[in-house]
Amino acid sequence: MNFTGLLFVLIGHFLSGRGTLAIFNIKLKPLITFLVSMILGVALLSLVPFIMQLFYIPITRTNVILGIAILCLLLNIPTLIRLRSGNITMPKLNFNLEFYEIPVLLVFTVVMLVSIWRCFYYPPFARDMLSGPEAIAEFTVREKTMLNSIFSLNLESTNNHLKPPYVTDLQIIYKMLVSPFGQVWLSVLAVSFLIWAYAILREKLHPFIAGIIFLFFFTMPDPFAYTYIMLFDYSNMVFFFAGFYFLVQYLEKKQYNIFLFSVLLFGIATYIRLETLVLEGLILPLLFFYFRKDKVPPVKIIIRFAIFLIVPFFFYEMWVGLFVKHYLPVHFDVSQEINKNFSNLSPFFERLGSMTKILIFGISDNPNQKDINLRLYGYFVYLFLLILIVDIIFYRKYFTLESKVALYGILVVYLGMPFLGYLIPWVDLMNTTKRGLYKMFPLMLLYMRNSGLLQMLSNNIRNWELPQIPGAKRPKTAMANTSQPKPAAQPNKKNKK
Amino acid sequence: MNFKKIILFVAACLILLIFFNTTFYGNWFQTKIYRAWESEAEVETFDYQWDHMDPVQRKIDKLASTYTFSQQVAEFLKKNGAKNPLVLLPPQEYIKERQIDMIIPEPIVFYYHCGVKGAWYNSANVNQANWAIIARNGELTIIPIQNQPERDAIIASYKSAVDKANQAAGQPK
Repeated sequence: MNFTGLLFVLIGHFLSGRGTLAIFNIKLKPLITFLVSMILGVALLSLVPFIMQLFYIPITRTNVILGIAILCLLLNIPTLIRLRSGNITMPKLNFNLEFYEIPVLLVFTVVMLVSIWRCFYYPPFARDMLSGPEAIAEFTVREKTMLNSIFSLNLESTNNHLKPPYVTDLQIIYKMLVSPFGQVWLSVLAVSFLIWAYAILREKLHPFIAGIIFLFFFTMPDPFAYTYIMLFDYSNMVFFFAGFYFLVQYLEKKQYNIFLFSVLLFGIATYIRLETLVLEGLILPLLFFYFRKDKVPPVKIIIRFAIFLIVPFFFYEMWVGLFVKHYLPVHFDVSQEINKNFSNLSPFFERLGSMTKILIFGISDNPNQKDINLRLYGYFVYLFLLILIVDIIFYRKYFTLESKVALYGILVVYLGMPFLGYLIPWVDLMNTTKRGLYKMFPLMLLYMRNSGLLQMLSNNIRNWELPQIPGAKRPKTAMANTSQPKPAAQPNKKNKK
Repeated sequence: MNFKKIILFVAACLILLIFFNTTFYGNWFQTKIYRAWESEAEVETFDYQWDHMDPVQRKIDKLASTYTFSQQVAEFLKKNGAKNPLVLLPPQEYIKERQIDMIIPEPIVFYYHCGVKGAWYNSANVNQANWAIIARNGELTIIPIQNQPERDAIIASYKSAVDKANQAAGQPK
């Protein structure tokens, strides 16, 4: 392990992510700024070897270091200008951790240390990686070009060499600068994302309740495994969720810069898994509904729709339309991969049915698939459903904009994955769909932090813990963004009475 | 410290205790997390891994025979001075038919592991293959291909195994 290299790359992630946040004028609390910067920075650095290859610049160690430095510099020009003018203040870190959060966070730390170690120690071993991105990355390091001897092989057994360059590029960077197996970027992403997820919960829920929900979230067996098994889906989930999170922020605050930032995040999600573009298309009705509600003029609606689709499509085209078509020495016709019989909708309904039965509820005649839902996702989905049902029955009044958008997002994934299976026959149930469903889970968290039931429980604990003195302000417990929209409706049984 | 915070702390500990004592999460913790400290498979423990940091050893431990097989083939070819080798890799059905417990990597993975090019019996460049993996006495061995009839015979034996497996599975040839 090259610690200097690791430090350089980590700083690179932070600076590139932080610079991008500044460009979009996204203001978050310091801890969240750091976490979102790291997450964003992982994806941004992955563009470096790709851009170098587009210009046929040899992908050497020195060039990669220079590329990262230049990218960070370019993205931080606005920050540097502000720094020169003295118009910048140092953030004040305020973690404000409660004593009773320690047990859950301690378990989280132990679990993630195991994940980080495995991510570092084991060589990449997923077949989809070895027969594509990992192999290309390994030979790029040796041959200094992504158009390397891998493409002189018999590739009839795989299409993994055609998958987007996100993993390949991160592997190139980490193999050159950090460790021979690369991969550690996945830990950077997973740890940053999970802490962010906890902070998101904690913004609106009592830390005790947030801790219990978070416990069910980070112990989901299958997603946990992919915090150290390198594949596309975990990253795709992170950026798809981030896109949704900032889309909600935009719908609440009506700040156009946040909309653009959200679109960028959806673009990155597409850059990781190209078929995400289809799911993003399914978000348009939601946008249309809110644009109409806000009386946005039709021309502006059209422009925003165009932006919402063009940015992810740009990322799609950058790979499929430009690189695969004009750079790769292999032929690939995307139309061959798509279902020709559009009129027959039965594959969609069949997939929707089997996905619901097997993956979500674990109902199957095949003994190997019985209770597979628990082996994959633990009891998290059941917990969500239970909370949702209680909310629908008892707390209907307390649905917030955020909870509605989160539910819409869950629906997009729930219907979108079978739709992808209908559209693209190689999107199978037990691999692509199983991991594609990950995208629902952080959205379920987003819903749960707004849940009327959990809000009521949180308020009751708060009232018991710190009985409010009339006129006195309750100390803040949230460690995350204070630039929050108005807090979720906070039902309290006593108040209700 | 606020007494109520201590109660919440104890409650959090109790919840964790109950959570990891349920059959499902207890089992998950035991098999996925605690395994790093204590496991029947020694290679999965921190102790073992800390003492075996060599990347090649780590590949052997994790990728097992797929990696060692590829390495052995590459080493053999290097020893025998093979120039531009293209190795005919047997299909998995052939390996199974010969009752050998081994997973043969596909050409791209084989190349990734050892830097030697491989081909399948149905690859476009199969007629350029100058080495082949065959089963002999319950073991895999690598042989040079001298001429086209020899190559055809090897391909036929591979194909026959695939056809038999397909027939058994009720699929057309």
